[in-house]
Amino acid sequence: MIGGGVTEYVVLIIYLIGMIGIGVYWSKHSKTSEDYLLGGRSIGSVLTALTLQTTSMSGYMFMGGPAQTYKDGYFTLWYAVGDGGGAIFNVGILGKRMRRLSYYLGCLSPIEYIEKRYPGKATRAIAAVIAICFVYGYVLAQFLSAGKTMSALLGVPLPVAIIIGAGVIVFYTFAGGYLAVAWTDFIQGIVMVCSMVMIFILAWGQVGGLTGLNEQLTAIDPTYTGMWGKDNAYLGQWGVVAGAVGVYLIGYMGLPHVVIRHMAMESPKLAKQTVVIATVWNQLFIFIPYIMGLMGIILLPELGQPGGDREMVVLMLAYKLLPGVLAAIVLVAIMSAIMSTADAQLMLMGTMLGRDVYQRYINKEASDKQLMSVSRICILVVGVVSIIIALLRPPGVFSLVVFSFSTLGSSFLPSYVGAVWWKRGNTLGCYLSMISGCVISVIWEAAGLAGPTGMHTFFMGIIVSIAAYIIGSLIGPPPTKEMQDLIDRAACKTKIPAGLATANYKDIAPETSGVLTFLKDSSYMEERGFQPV
Amino acid sequence: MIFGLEPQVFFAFLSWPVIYIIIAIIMYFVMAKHDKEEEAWEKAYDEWQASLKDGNGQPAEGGEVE
Amino acid sequence: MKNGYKMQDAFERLYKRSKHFTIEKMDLLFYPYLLMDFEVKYTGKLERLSEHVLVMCDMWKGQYSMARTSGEFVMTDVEENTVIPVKMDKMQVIKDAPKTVYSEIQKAKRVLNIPDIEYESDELVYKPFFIVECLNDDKEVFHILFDAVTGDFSLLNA
Repeated sequence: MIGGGVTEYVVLIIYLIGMIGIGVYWSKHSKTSEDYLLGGRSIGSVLTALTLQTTSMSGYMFMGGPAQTYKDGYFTLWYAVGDGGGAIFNVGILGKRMRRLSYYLGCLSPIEYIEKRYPGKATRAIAAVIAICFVYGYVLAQFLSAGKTMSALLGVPLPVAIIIGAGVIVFYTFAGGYLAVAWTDFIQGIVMVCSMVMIFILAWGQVGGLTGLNEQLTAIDPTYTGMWGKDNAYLGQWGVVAGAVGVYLIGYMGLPHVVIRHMAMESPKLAKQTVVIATVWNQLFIFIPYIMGLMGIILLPELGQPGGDREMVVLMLAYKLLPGVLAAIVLVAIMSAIMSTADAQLMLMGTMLGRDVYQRYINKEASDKQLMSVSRICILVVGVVSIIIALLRPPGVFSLVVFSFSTLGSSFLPSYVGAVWWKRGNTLGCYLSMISGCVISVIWEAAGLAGPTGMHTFFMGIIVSIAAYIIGSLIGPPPTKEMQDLIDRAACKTKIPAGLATANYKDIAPETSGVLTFLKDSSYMEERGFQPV
Repeated sequence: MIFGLEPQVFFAFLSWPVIYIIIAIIMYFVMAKHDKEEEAWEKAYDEWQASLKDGNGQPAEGGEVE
Repeated sequence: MKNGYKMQDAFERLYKRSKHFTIEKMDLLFYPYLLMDFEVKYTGKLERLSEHVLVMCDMWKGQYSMARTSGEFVMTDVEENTVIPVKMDKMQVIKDAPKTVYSEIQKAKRVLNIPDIEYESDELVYKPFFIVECLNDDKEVFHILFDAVTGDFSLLNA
């Protein structure tokens, strides 16, 4: 137990009540299922950027990441290098086009989007099964992290901590829907970055700046500041480096709970602001925690001793450097990181179960109100079941996260990217890519092949999945002309040169539609040697 | 040495935040340029679609003999 | 109807709008209209408002519109398959036309008296259009409908 004083309890209680308050506030503003599930597609650029990034980053950034740098030195920053550019890829590649296409197709969930883009009887079933199973794994892992963190920091028994921590997340997601999730993410994001920067600045002074830090690290062990990890453990392993960078650089584009953020953007035009805000935020929030792990080597040498918990490095720095109240806020920040990821996944579970299972397979005529109620009930049920599983048979947190991330990423990334960038991408490609990505990831992980082959599970999964998508798309029939036109429209690609596109056609509008029907119904075009209209 | 690190280590790990921010800013301006073109296209497309719809509805302006 | 724009004029007019495409093919298509002359008769003090009006009906879709002048017509031989066939029943079109005349008069003159609308004559006329096949810079095909009377044009597919 690190904290456990009255201050920590008071700060944490205020924070949790605040989160519940946001849930209650937005519950009154969600009138339609689009409001509840996608915030009425009215989320601005700052909110999109912060919610995108806080969702992407779980408690791992406060605990796992710094612990890893404490262990391996600078080598771990390869993950940060990938992660830092993730938003550029994610928003730059998918942002605008996915927002447009999902709007044209009238989709509310990322699975529905896959189904409409790749129409087929089994599309939604395959996508929903994979997404629901592995997003569920994520939810469970986050609930466990929330409980474990609270328990370790405050000394409350784990079951009580899980019930309180997870219970609050379930409540505000259940009550307020997407807008509650987005606004809590926003506040959580601010708390997270402020806390992190605060400790970083103080620790920076203590170690004598970047030069002081590096000189002291080199003095302890020169391999800490080398390219290949402590004791050159990864010497020459470029495959591992490529995997570490690549996973986070592109991986987020395959996560349904992350890409749904694009669909909820108020306007595709916000993508450009989002990319800047998210990238700047990433540089602050990704590199700093890793570097704090390095600072921990100098300032908290006891954590390297047997029995030392390296995952507590950021929090112990906070307690070493900050006065009581501020250290308690850091505790809240860690909870925020966990909660902001958990709420998004829980929300997605509700969306998928309501829209993709209930409305699709159980009650096709479900009204908007029914859909919203079912999504809410699903969130509550999934939340409560997760809490019960976490209490009875808690699995390992980080292995669960990495496994879920790899499987979701490998299964969906080619289909999401291909949906807006490759008109030829078709249903067969989507099926093969989802199934092969999922199966390979599960086999790779279950058989423990990552170590012996030097190939990360995600890396292997994504290679197979991309290949399957391309092969399937080339073999299967191309998407319909209407779909191809929609993809072009989402890309604002037109066959018509700008000067002609903006011409005034209103004066001959009646004739245009008449001629069009005549040309389609008659053999005029063929007889006169024209291409079909 | 740069900040106590070998130059290649410094550039491999710590130059990225600056590079990414520069890329993001460049992307902002490129995307802003595209937004303008896309806006003009979207407007023209919507007008065109609307004009076709008008054509199927009540008598519209036009058809005038000169 | 007499075309004010020849093929060459259409080329020039389209190329003036953009240089990023090439016109591959252009051909005529004639659109059928029934041009009807009606006499609108008022009685009493409003007699001075009596007039002749021209109503056109698109004989492919059955859409009415008012024509302000009778325009210029020429008799010419055309290839049969360049003419959009008449789909509407001529007698029915003439029978229904007064409704359009009445509503247009109401809109234009805002008088409450109901005039007598008497059919005078009709003539089936064809308006010339050019169907233009173009290629963009990526060599993708698109089509334009060019009104050879007014010079207006519209995209047929995008």
